[in-house]
Amino acid sequence: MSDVSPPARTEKGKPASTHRPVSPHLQVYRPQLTSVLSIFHRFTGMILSAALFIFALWLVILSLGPDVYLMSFAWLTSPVGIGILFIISLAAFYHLCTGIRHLIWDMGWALSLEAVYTSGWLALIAAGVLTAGYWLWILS
Amino acid sequence: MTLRTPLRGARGLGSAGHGSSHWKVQHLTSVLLIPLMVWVMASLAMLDGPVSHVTLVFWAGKPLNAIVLITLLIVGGLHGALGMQVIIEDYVTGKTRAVLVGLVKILAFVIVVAGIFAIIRLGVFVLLIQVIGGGGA
Repeated sequence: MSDVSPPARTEKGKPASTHRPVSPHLQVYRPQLTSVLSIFHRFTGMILSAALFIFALWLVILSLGPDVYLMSFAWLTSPVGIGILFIISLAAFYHLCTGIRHLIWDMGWALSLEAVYTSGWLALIAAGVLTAGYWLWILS
Repeated sequence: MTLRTPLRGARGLGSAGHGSSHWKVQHLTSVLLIPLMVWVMASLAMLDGPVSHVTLVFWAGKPLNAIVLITLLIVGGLHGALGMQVIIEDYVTGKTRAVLVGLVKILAFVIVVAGIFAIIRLGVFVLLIQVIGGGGA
């Protein structure tokens, strides 16, 4: 193409490029194991950030005595509370397994497409097994 | 005319001047979080029977647990804030981006400090009970 025109401008005079959608363009990709695991690594990271916030809040409430604690955190042992704890533990084990996968990549290892798929399935299975084992341990 | 010296480019730190520190801290904290998370989750799973307020106070106030919990809060707070910053920078632009990243950092700082204060308070409480109770608790 020989016709190189200057960047298009909007009515406000800003380059049109500033109105482009922001990367990563999640909506234009066909879901693949690699992308889905990556998205869930971020998603579980957000869950764990929220969990750390609740955990710190929980410690503060814990230090305020049994009355305040029972008033604000009695729901923790209810079915809803256990459900939330289960999701947090699943997010923790998932983020741990895919996080270790990222650290292995950063060493320059297991970067072939085949290895990336193998480690992806391994991380997924390991997260499931660890979560199941953890709750069997707690309930035993 | 530019006021930049060639040294600026030669150091290879990029326009912000601190290109690699975010990556380094994110990765150092991720490695530290592996044993910390495993410790806390295992130690919580090992609590006996119906978990009462007293059990949890003695769990969090026990010196070794308190040290691990304080480390977890600091390392986890850093890791979480850096991670949230990356997500925000990927999806939010302009002034909102700077405001959100600032809010995340302030929020992380506040909860980590509050959590550490609570753990120290619980630790002192447990210590006092053990001293007064002569180990009976």
